[in-house]
Amino acid sequence: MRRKDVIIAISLSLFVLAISIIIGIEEFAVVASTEIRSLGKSYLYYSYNPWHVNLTSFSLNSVTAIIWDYRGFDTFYETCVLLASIIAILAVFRGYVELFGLEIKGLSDIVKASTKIVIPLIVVYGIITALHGQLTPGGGFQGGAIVTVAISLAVAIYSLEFIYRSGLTTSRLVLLRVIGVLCLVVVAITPLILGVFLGVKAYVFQNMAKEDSPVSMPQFLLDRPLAGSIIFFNLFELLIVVSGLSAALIVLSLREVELRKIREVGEKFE
Amino acid sequence: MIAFIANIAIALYGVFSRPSLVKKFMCLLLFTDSINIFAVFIGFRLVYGSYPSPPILSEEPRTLKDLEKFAEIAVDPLPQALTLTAIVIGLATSMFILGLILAYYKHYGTTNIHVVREVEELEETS
Repeated sequence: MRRKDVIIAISLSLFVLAISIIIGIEEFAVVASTEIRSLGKSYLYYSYNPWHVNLTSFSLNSVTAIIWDYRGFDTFYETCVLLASIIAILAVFRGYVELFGLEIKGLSDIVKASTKIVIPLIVVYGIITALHGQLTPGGGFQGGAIVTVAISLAVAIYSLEFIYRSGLTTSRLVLLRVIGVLCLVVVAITPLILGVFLGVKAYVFQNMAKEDSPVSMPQFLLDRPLAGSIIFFNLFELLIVVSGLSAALIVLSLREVELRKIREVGEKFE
Repeated sequence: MIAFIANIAIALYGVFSRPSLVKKFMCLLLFTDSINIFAVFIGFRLVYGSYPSPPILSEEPRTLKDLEKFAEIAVDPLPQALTLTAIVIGLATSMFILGLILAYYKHYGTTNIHVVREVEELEETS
């Protein structure tokens, strides 16, 4: 036992030393330089650039432009990872039942009344964060995380029974989540379908018109930049994140009675 | 920078030597977050005479000159975007790990891995 601790300490200090050397060498990681990499600079330059229509995404927020336009596939797979993790959680807890009609405990009336005021504000704020992702800091994932805070508040303060009564069971949430991913796919292949009908070239995950394909998603709504497909992606990402995270939250906070069946299922498989 | 390295050291110490799974998990999250902060830190830039601007245009640029000026003072958006991806995937895996820890606790009644080993040894001897 004693020797193991010493070995751990030595190897850890060596590892940290190695990391600090990597950080310290300026060629690998220049920290706080006056000049940024040319790739980052070109993203900054082209993310909202009406003078280079073929290269821009009409998004004032460069980070959102990178996430949903320039690196759209990456984010799509990331969304799929989130879906896979929820399925994995459901697989670990297979055999649970959602029981209605257990007694509602919850916290005191004062806390319940104040939560009733706060929850709509949180939800509206989260939706605004998602829908204004191309204009202000934010985006679909951030907005979804904010809305999930409202649901976790409701679970903690009103108990799980309240969530079930408002219609949010895990099966429905997972269904909503799958529908969200399908909507993402539909938005991604919309340019392709338009291209087929118009008889021009188009690409999957295409946002704005490119040099050899004139298909373009909407750029402006009235006088506000809409950033084409980015707003739709943000909207569906909000749906996906809210439903996925709240499904995981409900499964992780299931009550003892509902988990009793898990053991029986496990014994059956063993 | 020293604080960042100390953070990594504490996190790794926790992951390797704490017996409780929950504490291991917390230290793993700390480790992820330190790395993410470092990634954002790489994208930071120094602008002499003023502060660097976030990679978000506060208003629509009127001319190409405005845009060039913005590209001169804004920080690098790419590490931030990659960090966002890393956070989401980290969240997905950490939810799964949390589920596993919960299942482990339901099965053994504790999250301490050493206690579990002793229990198994006892079961083998008896």
